[in-house]
Amino acid sequence: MSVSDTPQADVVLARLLVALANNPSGVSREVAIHREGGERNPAVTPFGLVISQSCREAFGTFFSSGEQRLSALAIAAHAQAHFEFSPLFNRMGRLKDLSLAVISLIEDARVEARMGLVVPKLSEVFARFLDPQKAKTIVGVEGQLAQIAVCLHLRTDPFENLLCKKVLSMMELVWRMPSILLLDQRRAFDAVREIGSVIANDLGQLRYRFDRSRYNVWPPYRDDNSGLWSDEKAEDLIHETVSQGKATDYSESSTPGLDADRDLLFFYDEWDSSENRYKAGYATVKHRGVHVTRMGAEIRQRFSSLITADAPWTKALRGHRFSFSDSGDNLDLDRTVERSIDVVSGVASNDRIYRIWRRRKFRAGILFLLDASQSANDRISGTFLSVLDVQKRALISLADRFSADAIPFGIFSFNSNTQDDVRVIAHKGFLTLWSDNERQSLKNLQAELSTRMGAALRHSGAICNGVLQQLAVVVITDGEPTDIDPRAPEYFDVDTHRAVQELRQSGAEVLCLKIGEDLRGRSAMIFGQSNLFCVNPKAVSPGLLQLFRKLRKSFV
Amino acid sequence: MNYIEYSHEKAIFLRAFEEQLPVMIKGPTGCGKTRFVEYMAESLNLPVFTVSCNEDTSASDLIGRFLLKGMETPWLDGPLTRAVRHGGICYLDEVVEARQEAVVILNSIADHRRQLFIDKTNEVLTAPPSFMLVVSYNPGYQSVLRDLKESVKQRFIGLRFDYPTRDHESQIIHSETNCDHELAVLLADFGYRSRRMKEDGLFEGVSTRMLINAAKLLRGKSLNSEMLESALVDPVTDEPNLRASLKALLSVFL
Repeated sequence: MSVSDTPQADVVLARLLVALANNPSGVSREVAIHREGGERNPAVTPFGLVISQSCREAFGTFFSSGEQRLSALAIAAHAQAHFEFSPLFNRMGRLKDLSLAVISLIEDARVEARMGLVVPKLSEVFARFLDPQKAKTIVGVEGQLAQIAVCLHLRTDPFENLLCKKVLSMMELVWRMPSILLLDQRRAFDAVREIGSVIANDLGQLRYRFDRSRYNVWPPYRDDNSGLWSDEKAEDLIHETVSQGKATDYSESSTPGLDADRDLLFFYDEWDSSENRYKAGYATVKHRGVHVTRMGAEIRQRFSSLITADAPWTKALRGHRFSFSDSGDNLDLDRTVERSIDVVSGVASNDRIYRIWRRRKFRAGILFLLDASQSANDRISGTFLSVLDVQKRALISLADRFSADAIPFGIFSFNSNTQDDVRVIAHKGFLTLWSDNERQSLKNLQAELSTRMGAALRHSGAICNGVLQQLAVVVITDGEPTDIDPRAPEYFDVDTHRAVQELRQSGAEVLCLKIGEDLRGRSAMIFGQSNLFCVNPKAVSPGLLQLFRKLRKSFV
Repeated sequence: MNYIEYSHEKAIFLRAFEEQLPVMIKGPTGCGKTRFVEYMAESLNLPVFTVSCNEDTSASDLIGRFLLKGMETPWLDGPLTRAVRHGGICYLDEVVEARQEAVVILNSIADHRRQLFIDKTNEVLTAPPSFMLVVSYNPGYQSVLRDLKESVKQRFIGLRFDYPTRDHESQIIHSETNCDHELAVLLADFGYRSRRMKEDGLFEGVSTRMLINAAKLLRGKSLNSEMLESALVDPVTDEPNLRASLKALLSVFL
C-alpha cells in the first residue's frame, strides 16, 4: 500500500457523520485534530468532532482492520447521536464532577439507544465495545461507571450490582415512555439529569473518590462529554481547541487578513518593458492560507490511480479523440462502406470518411485567482452590489458546480501595494472540501489596494510547480493590472502578458473571467481574445456558463 | 415480471400510452428505469426495442441503413423503424449520450405527427397506436454539458424516478432476491446512507441495482467483509477515504 492509499481518519469520520445523519438537511460537521498530543476521548462540539492526534494516527495505519473500521463507525455514530438527540451546553448549576460524569454516562446510553432505533444493528456495534468482562477489570469509581454503562446498554444487570439495578429500574420509566425517549430532547435530558443526580449521590455515599482530571470516559469511542455542559472555561477551551486544531492541522486561516508572523515570502522576477529585461527577484509575494507544499501533492494524490511505471502521471491525462474529414491518411472502414452503399443506392453520401486524430489534453484541476483590489469595491450602477460581490457569487457558483462534479479546484485571491507587498491568500486547496469554512473565508474577503497580476500569476505557477502543465488557471478580475508605483500603464499589461505566456509555456491553460461594465479593454491583449470571458455584472449567468462549459470539457 | 410501484408512475405511463404521448424517464443509475419500461411493456403485451445510446449512436443506428449483400444493397430497419412499423415500445436508454442528429429525428415521431421520415428510402412511416417512444437519462453527472434540447424535451411526458425510500427499497431487495428480511433492511439502510455521501465526493450513491446484486451475492451465506466490499464498495469508488468510510459503514453487517 502506498502512502497515498492511506485514508485520513478525520476525513473518514466526517464522511461517516454525513452518512449517519438522520436529518437529510442536517448540517455537515467537521472533524478536527486536537492540538495537544496524548490519548484522549473524542470531543463533541457544535462545530463537529475533535479527535486526538494519536487516534488519527492509529486509524491512518490500521484502517484495513475490521476493528478499526468498527471503532470509526462507533465514534461517528456516538457523536452523531449527540448531535441529533442531545441538547448541548447544558447549565451545570451546582452539580459536582461525579454527578456530571454519571449524568453524561446515562445520556450517552439514552442517545445511543435513540440512534439504534434509526440505524439497524447499530446497537450491536456499540455492544462490541461495552464488554462486561472488560468493565469488571476496571477498578474504583470508574469501574462502577463502566458497569453502569454496560447495564444501560444491555438493559439488564450481569454484575449483580445494586447501583446498576437501581439505575436500570429508574431508567425503565424513560425507556417505556416513547415521548420522552423519542421526541423531546429537553425533557429526556431533564429526566436523565434527575436519575444521574440520585445515582451520583449514592456513589458519594459509598465514599468513592472521583478525580475529574484523571477520568476517561469508557469505552474510548465515546466522547468526553465536554460538549454537554455549559462551563464557560470548557466552552472557551473547546472553541480554542477547534480553531487551533484546524490551524495546526491544515495550515489554514479561517479569517483571512495578513499577519506578518504567518506570511510566507516568495520573490519573483518581473518584466520591465521599458528596459526590455527581467528584473530578478523584483516582486515580493506574501502568501498565506493553504500550505503551499500541499498543493502539488494534492493533485498527484487525486490522480494516483492513473500513475504507473509505464505511464507517468504527467502523460496519464493525455487523451485522444478523433473526428472525420474528407481527406487524410486513416480511412474509416465503416464510413467507407456506408458511403459506397450510398453511392450505389444513389442517395446523398457522406464524404467525410477519413479519421483525424487529435490530442485532447485533460486537465487535473483548476486554480481560481480572484482579483481583490480596491476597484472591485465599485458599486454596480442600479444595484446595491459591488463588483467584488458579483465576483464572489460567480466564483462560488463555479465552485459549487465543480465541487458537485468532484473536480479539484483551488481558490486564491490577491492584491498588491507596490512590488514589495503582493498579497496572495489561498482560501482553498485543490482537494480541501468545499465547505462552509471555505465559503466563509471567501465571503469575508475585502477588496483593497492594487492589482499586480503578473506576480500573482507567477506565484500560482511556482506553488503548483510540477502539476502546472495539467492545470487551468482562471483569473477573475474587474479590470487590468495596475499598481501604485509610477509606471507607464503598459508596464503592468506587458508584465502580466509575459506571466501568462510563461504559464502557458509550462502547459497550463490560462483564462480570464472579466466581470464589470467596462468589458474587454486591454484584457484581450493580455489573455487573448478566445481566452477572455466578459460578463456583464447585471447578467452573469450566460458568460459563466460559457466559461464553465469550456473548463468542464477539459476534465475526464 | 415483478415491479413495486412507489408513486403513480404506472397510471401516468398507461395514460400516456392511451393518449399516444411519448414518455421521458429521468433518474439516477440503477433506480429502476429500465425495469419499469420492461414491466410496462409486459403489462401492455408489447415488444420492447431497446437502444443503449452512446456518443457514437447516430441517426442510422436508430432508423436503419443500407447493407452490402453481394451486388445488392438491401435496407435494414433500425430499432426505431421496426417499432414504428410493427408497433411496440422503442426505448432509448441514456438518450442524451446520442449524437444530436440522432436525437433530432425523434421530433416528428414524438409530437402529434407521430411520423418517421426515412430520407434514404424516401419513406414516411406513421406510427400505429401500439407504438410508444420512451427515452431515459440520468440528469446528474453531465447535465450541463449533455442535455436534450428544449425542443425535444418539451414533446415528452416526464417521469422523475429516484432511489426509493428505505422501507420501499428493502421490499424491492427482498422481493427481487428472496433474501432475509433483515439483510434487505440492512442493505437498504446502507444504500440510503451511502447516498448521503454523494455530495461529499461520491459521484453516484450505491444504487438499488447494486443492493440487489449484493443481496444475491450474500443470501444464504455467512457475511464476510470481502464479499460485502466486492458488492458495495469496489464498484463505486477507488478513493481511499471514501472506501474507508463505506467499509466502516459496512461494519454493521459483520
